[in-house]
Amino acid sequence: MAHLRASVGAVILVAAALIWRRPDLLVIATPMVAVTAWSVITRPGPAPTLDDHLAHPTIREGDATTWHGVISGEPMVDLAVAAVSPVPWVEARPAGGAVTAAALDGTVRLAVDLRSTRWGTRSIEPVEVHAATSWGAFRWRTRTSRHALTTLPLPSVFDVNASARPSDGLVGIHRSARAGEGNEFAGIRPFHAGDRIRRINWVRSARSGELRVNATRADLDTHIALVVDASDDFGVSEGIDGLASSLDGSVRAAGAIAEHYAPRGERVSLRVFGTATAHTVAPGSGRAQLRRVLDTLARVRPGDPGRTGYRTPASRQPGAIGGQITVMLSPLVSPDALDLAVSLGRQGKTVIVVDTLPAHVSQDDDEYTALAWRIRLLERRREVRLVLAAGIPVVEWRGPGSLDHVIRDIARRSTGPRMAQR
Amino acid sequence: MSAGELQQGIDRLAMVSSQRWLFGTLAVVAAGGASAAASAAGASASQFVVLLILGLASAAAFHPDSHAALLVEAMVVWQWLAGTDDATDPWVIAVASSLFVFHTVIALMAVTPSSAVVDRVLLLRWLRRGGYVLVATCSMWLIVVVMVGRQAPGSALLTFLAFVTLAAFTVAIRAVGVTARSSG
Repeated sequence: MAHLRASVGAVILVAAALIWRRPDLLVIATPMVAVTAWSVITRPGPAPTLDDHLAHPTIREGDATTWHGVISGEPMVDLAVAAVSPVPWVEARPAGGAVTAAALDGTVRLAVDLRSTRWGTRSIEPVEVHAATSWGAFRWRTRTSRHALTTLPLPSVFDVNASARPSDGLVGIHRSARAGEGNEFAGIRPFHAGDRIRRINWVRSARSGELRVNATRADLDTHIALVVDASDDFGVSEGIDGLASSLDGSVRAAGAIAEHYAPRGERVSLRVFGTATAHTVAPGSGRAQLRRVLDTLARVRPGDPGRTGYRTPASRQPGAIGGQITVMLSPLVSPDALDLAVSLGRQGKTVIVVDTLPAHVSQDDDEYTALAWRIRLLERRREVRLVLAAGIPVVEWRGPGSLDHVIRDIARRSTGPRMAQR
Repeated sequence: MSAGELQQGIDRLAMVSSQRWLFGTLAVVAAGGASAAASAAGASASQFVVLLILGLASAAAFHPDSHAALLVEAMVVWQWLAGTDDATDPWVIAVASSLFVFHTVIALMAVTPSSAVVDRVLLLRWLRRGGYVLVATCSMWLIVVVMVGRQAPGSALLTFLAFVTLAAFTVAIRAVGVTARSSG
């Protein structure tokens, strides 16, 4: 349009100056003539090429990556513009996602910083790229392909001082719950058929008058089975810098627990229920396992409560569950989660339920919605009491030390006999 | 307009960069300046025409890819042509410069999104080019002053030759452009 305006203006003004003998019109036409001539001389040839990529396709919440685009192959290109479409939970810099750059030696380098504020996998929509010659006379435009951006959850700060049985185990730093052939002394007990002779404690046997053996604990690592309830997502999510929804809390807490245990050699497994597709990670340890867990957590999508028919019930979903310590992270609103916790507890599994329902969930501008939430929370309090009555600890997620108290209790309980329905 | 559309419009306005607002203001001021310069040379226009020019300039600033900018330039030229007889009036430089600034700003706005901030290197490059064009405009005015001072009689032959020269010049420029394209 600019080239058309300049060239039409130039021709008409020059023609009018000649026809009506108005040389002053030549003065007015001069800029138009100059712009037209300049534009025609710098008319572009073949279409330039665009190479683009994301600097880091996988980042953590709150981190930024950069979209780079390089336009080359056409020396007449004067400037280029790139505009990144708005993507939920992704902040662009410059604000608005549009950047301009001047050509240097026929090459234009464009860069847009993208900061992801919430975990998840999302695609950066095709970037609109425009290039233009001098005076904006000739323009070329293209759209890039989509770029996948995976944002790993940024685990909350988490630490556990309590340990089921602290020791220098062979694999992890926590002792297995099972008694067995190990080196760690667990106590002295009466001799049973099958005990090895070398286990007999002759001094105690002589004192008590019956055979006593030294009991030891099995040299196994701790297995933390993480179970994430993704049936629904309650509350407002404002990304890493603001309020967290229930699923934000669950995912970040699961990431924190995995980050605490997996690099120390403990086995960590993951199972997500309530989603359309099953997400499971088999038990494993180490940093690679941590990365697998975080990658899987990043792919979690909350299940649609209106489409419960398409969801796999918690009890039917495959995946590792019922490890030494099963940590279920749930807002405890879905009946699936409560049922699963109780059924695992009744099987004699060690279960800890972490309540991730955010406090702001009952605050709503609509008084009826707020009232409905308060009623639901009263019902939920009763349901949680039933879970507690089944011997399953329910704790609120508070970051470091959230699980200390319950893990100490579990360590104490595991030394005694337990009842289980089989 | 529904509330949703109104909100979208407000959101779009909020995304517009401050530099874009500056460019839009500059375009409207340049168009108004061209009209004012024509009035100063004796080609005073009615208030309605001035308001029409400013309105069209504002429309061109909001929609740089529309024909509104061409209408603004046509109206200012018509105002000059209808009200001024003195071909050597120095105000013509102000009119030409203002129209050029208007045209350039609208062209720059047309190639950049409303939320973008134009790179400083790019702005300096366009300013430098604009300086060359303004020097050429002043030179042309001096040539016109000299030619008018000679009071040469009109000639149909010379006029015909001027048209031929203009056509040849256009074809030559076009040929250079095509050569540049094929070599590039």
